[in-house]
Amino acid sequence: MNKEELKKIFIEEATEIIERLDIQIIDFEEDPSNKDLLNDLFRGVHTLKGSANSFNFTKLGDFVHHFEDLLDYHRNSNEEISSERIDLFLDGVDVIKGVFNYEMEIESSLPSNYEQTLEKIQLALNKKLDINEESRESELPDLSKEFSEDFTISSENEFKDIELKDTERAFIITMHLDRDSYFRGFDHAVFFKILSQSGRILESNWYMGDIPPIDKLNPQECFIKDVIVIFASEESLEEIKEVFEFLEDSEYKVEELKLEEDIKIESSKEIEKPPLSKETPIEKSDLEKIEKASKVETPTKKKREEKKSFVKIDTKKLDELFDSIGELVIAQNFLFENRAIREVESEQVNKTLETLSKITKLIQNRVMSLRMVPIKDTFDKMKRVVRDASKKVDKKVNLVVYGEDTEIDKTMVDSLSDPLIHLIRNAIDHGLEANEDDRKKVNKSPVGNVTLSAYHKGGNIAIEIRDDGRGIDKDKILKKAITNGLAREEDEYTRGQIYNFLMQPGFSTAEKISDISGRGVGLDVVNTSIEKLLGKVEIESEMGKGTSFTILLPLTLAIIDGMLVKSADEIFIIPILSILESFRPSKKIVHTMKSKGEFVNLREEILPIVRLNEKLDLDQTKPNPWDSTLVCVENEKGKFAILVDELIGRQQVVIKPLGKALSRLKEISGGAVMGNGEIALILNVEELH
Amino acid sequence: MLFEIDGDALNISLSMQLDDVVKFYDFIKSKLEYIESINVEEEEFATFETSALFQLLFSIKNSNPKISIPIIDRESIEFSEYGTIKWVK
Repeated sequence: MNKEELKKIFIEEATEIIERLDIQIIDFEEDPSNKDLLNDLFRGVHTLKGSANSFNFTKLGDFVHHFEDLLDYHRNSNEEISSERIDLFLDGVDVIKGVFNYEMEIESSLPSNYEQTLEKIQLALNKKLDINEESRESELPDLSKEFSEDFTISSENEFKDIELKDTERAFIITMHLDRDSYFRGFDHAVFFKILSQSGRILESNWYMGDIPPIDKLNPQECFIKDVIVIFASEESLEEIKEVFEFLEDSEYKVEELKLEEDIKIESSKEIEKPPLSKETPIEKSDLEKIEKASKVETPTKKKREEKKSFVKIDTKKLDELFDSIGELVIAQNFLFENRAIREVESEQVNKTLETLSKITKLIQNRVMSLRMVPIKDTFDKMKRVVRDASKKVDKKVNLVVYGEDTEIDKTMVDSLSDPLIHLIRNAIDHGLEANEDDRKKVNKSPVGNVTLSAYHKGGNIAIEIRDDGRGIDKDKILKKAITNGLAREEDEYTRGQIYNFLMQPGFSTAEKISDISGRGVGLDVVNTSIEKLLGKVEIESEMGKGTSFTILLPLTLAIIDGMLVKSADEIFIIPILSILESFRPSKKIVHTMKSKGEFVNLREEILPIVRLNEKLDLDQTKPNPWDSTLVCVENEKGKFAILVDELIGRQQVVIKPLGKALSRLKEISGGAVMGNGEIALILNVEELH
Repeated sequence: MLFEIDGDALNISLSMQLDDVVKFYDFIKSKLEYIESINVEEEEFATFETSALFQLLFSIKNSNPKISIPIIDRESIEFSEYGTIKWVK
C-alpha cells in the first residue's frame, strides 16, 4: 500500500471523524453527565491529531492538539460545562473543518476565525492549568484499552510504504506503557532490542505530546503516551505477542497488518438496532412507537454494544453491481415477454420462470438495500443547525426526531443536507412565533417545537419538517404572488397551488431579511434539489398551529416504479410518485374554454388537460378525451390531467441516462429498456404543464 | 562519557541507562538557561538504551524551546537497527 493510498484512507476517515464532531458535542450538551460521550469525542480528536501529523497536515494537527487538550481537561474534571464552552467547542469544530479544507487545498486560506478560536482555546486552557495534577490523575478514565483499538485502525494510515520479503509478515504493535513501567523494569528500548532480534523494525511513531516541562517531570516515570511500531518478521503473531507477555493487557496490542488494497475488513462496535420495516408504510400515529424505539437506540443511551462486522467496498464496484442487476431485470423482462416462451405449455418451464422471477426480485431487493443507509447521520447534523439557528434568532427550540433509522439511498444523502438545512432554518426563523410572549399569548409552550421525521409512505420515503408555529398566511402569499405576476387576481387557486408559490424563484413573504433565511432564495432551490432526486415537496399548514414541509423521495434513484402509457403508438413512463389517479372521463365533465384549452371537472376540481401527443409533437391527431385515458398528476404548479391513448400497466423500470440529443428535451427525464427490447422514455411531469 | 558540556553545547550519548538519565536530569534542570544545544553524534543512531532519555529531551524542549536538540527537532530520524523513528508532538 503506497503513501497516496494511505492518504486517501486517512482523508476518508478524517472526514468521518470531523463530520461527527459537532454531533457528539451537541449530544454531550444534551447529556453533560455522560462522560462516555466526551471520551468518544476526545478519542476521535486524538486519532485525528495523530493521523494529521503523520500526513504533514501540520496546521490541522496543531489546532487539533490544543482542542484535544481542552477536551482532555474537561473529561478529567467535574467542572460543569457552560453553554459558552459548548459554543467554543463548536467554533473549534468549524475551524477544524476549515483547516482540513485548507490542508486539502479546497480553501485557499485558513478560516478567518482560526487565530481567534485558537487564542480562546489557549486562554481557556491557561485558566485551567492550575488544576491539581494528583486529582487529575485519580479521575483519569482508563482509555488505554479503547485507544489500543483505535490506534491499530488509524495507525495503518500512519506509515509509509511497507516492503516485505517473501517469507515475512507485517505486524503493528502498539505500546501504551503505564506511568510506572520503568519502575517495573519495562522500557520501550527493551522491547525494541528484543524485536530487532526476531525481525526488522521498519518504522515507529512516538506520541510525545504529553511530556510535562522539566519542573513537573519525574524522569523515572513514563510519560510517553503511545509508541506504534511497524514490524516485519517471519515469526507468527503468537510468537511476537510473547515478547510482551509480562506487560499488562492494556499496555500493548499486536496485530498482523493486512495489506489488501481494495477491501478493509474491520470489526466495529456498533449499536444493534431493531430493524424497522422498510416495506410497511408507517402512519403518523405509529411515530410514537418509533420514538420509543429510537430513544433506546440513541448513542447517549447506548447499552453494551454487540460486535458487527463491516466490509468497506469501493462505491464504483457497487455501482457496477447495480448496473448488472438492472441488466438482469431487463433480461428477465425480455424472457417473460418472449412470445415463443409464453406459448410453451409446460408446467416445469412455468415453475422455473416463476422461480427465476422470485430470485431476481430477491437479488434486486438485496442489492438495492446495499445502497441504503439510515438517515440518522443526516438528522444528527441537523441538531447543530437547530442550535445555531435558534441562538441566532434568539428563540428557544426543541428538536424532536422520529424514524432516524429509516433508510435512504446513499446517493441521495449528500444532496439532501442542504434542502433540510434550509427548511429547518426556515421553520425556526419564519415558522415559529417571533418570541416567547407571542407563543404564550396563543397558549403555546414558550419553547418552539420543530419535528424532523422520516417514514415510508406509499412506497416512497417521506421526510417531514414540522413546526408548531404560526402557520402560513395563504392570503398574504396569494397577494404577493399577484404582485409578482405569478398569479392573476381573477383566477381561483387551491390551497396547494397557493403554497406552491413559495417554491417559485425569488418569492419571499419575509418582512425582514435575515441571514438565516428569508433572502428570497432558498425554497425554490430546495424544490429544484429535490426534483433532481426525482422527488417532490408537499406543504401543509394551518394558521396558528404550524406548518409542515414533506419531502417525498423514491426509494432509489436507479429503479423507479413507473406507469407505462401509450400515446401515438409510442410507450412512455410516468413515475408513479407523480400520479394521483387515472380515469376515463365522461363527456359531460370535459369542457373547452376559449383560448384556455381543455379542462376536466374532477369532483368539482377543474384540471387542465395536457394532450401528450401534442405536447411532444408526436402527431396531429386529436382523440376525444372521453375515448382516451386521463392520468391525473401533480407538479409544483398544481394538478393537471395528461391525456394518453391507453394505460399499459405498472412496472419497475431501470433508469438509463439519455444521450446528448434527447437530454435537451426538458419534458423527458430519462429512458428505460422494456421487456421487448424497445426503449421507453420517462416523462418529466414538472415540465409537462 | 554519557554527557559532557562543551561551551554552550551539551553532548550526550544514547547509551545512557535509566540511572544515567536520572543523573542527567539532575544535572541539567538548573542549567536550561545556559544551554544552547544538546547534540548526539550521528554515528550513535543505531540503538538506544532507554526511552526515558527521549522523554527527558522533550521535557527540556517544552521547558525551553530555544534549546536546539536536533535529534527531536527533526520530524524523524533513521536508526540503523530500529528503522525510522517519527515524533508525533
